[in-house]
Amino acid sequence: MPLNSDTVGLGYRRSMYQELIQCDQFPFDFLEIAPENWMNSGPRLQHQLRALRERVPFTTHGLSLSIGGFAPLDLPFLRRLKAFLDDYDIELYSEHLSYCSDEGHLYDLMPIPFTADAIGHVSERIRTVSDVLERPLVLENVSFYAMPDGDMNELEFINAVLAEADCDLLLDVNNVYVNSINHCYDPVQFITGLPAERIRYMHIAGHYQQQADLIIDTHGADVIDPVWQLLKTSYQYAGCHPTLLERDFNIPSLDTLSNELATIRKTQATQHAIVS
Amino acid sequence: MPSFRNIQQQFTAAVRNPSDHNTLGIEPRRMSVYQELVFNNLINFTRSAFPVACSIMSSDWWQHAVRQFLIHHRSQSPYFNEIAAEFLSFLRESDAVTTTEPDFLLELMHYEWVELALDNIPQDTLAVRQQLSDDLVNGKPVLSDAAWLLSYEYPVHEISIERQPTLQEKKDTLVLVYRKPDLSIGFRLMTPIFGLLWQQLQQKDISSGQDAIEQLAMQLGINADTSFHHHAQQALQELFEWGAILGAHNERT
Repeated sequence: MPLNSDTVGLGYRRSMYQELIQCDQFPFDFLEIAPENWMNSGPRLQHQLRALRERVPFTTHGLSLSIGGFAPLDLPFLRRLKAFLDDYDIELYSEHLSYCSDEGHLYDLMPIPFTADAIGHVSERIRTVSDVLERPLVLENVSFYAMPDGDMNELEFINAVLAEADCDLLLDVNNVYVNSINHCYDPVQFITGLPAERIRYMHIAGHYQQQADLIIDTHGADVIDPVWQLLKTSYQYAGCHPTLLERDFNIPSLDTLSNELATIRKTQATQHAIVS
Repeated sequence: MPSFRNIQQQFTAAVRNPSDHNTLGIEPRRMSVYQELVFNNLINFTRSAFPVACSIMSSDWWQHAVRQFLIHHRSQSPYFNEIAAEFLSFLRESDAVTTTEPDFLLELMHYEWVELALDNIPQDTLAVRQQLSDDLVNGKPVLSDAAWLLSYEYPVHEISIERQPTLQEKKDTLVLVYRKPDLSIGFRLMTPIFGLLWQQLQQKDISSGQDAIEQLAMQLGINADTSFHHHAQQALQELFEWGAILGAHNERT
């Protein structure tokens, strides 16, 4: 079952387990997990994951696919991923429009050069991944800090890949904000330049401002007001979509996180009120 | 316009080795964001996987080792919990970082890695346990996939920053590492005779615990008297309670 458009999720970290399992009423509708952190783990962690899955649906946000990488796709990994998604009955698999490897894994996300030849390469790989997983691959706009030479800008590149691969988008509004500062563009123009009908899922998070013109997407702080504004703008432009709060470092208590989750809900409710 | 592949190759080369490459014309402070993200991420993963080794080695040594790992090694695992194994296999195969460390270092790091490795063994040991009988003598004992008997030249379990064995303090050390019924990882020092019993239990053609005990007596060239049987059966029972033996197959199961 697809998630309703006005649902709220939390990025799950292992350190949250005790607090979550003791919580009677979750302040979210779904949890998002990184499959690479669970697929090859033993029964201790699998039991924890199943206990949570019995209570809420999961979405996934992968880290190691390297959709933009030049080395061949790791097919054994993809087949194992499919088994994992089937096993936990997970419909939504998302990844980053990025690459994380050359001939070996670097375990972090790097910026794809925005070139014409990269569009064809990435699109073909998206189709392969969808075929193996037997579900669509939803791709996220990533934050990036350095722009290698290219033939086009980020928006043109993303739109070309989505069209060529017939692929849906995970719109990360914090990443749009981060990139708008790092690469001097208007975030609202960027969001309204995306194909609204392809937006399927949204992310929101906090970041770290290193310098006036350089922000690092750490997921380690509270969401700031301009990013909340962008979420509102995104809902106005593309309608409400399941929206996830990411918090990977300096994780506060569930009570504190639930304030931000409540803000997402409120923003969704406001959008519904406007539409109706 | 160079191909995206060419640009990526230059980019990752600069991430792996910041001192050698800077051909992309990217502003250095922006390139260094990636260089630091990747490097610090690996530092964090390796430090947390090898806390004792990390406390013994200097910060400079560790940073040098991770830098050499980034430059020379190509990790094939997509899983973050296998970064430690990639790092250890690089250190074992490479001579890039072997000049100054203590002789015991790689054994210690292996011992530290085993805890992580056994936690990740996929076998659902609790579920298997429930399907087996507890008649370890007449049935055929089933060893846990998550129980490894390991032999070291150093007393790896005693090593700490205060206690660093020299070459002269080498001591053959046999350790059984196993996933307990509560799913945490246990460590036990084993006597050589216990080790031989474990090896007998690992033999495919052993028909029962009794058979393994008799084979062991034969191997030792001793008479399997009542006392020997008693001690060996007690050992099987202990292995079962620890979780290293999951139970036994017998005709009824």
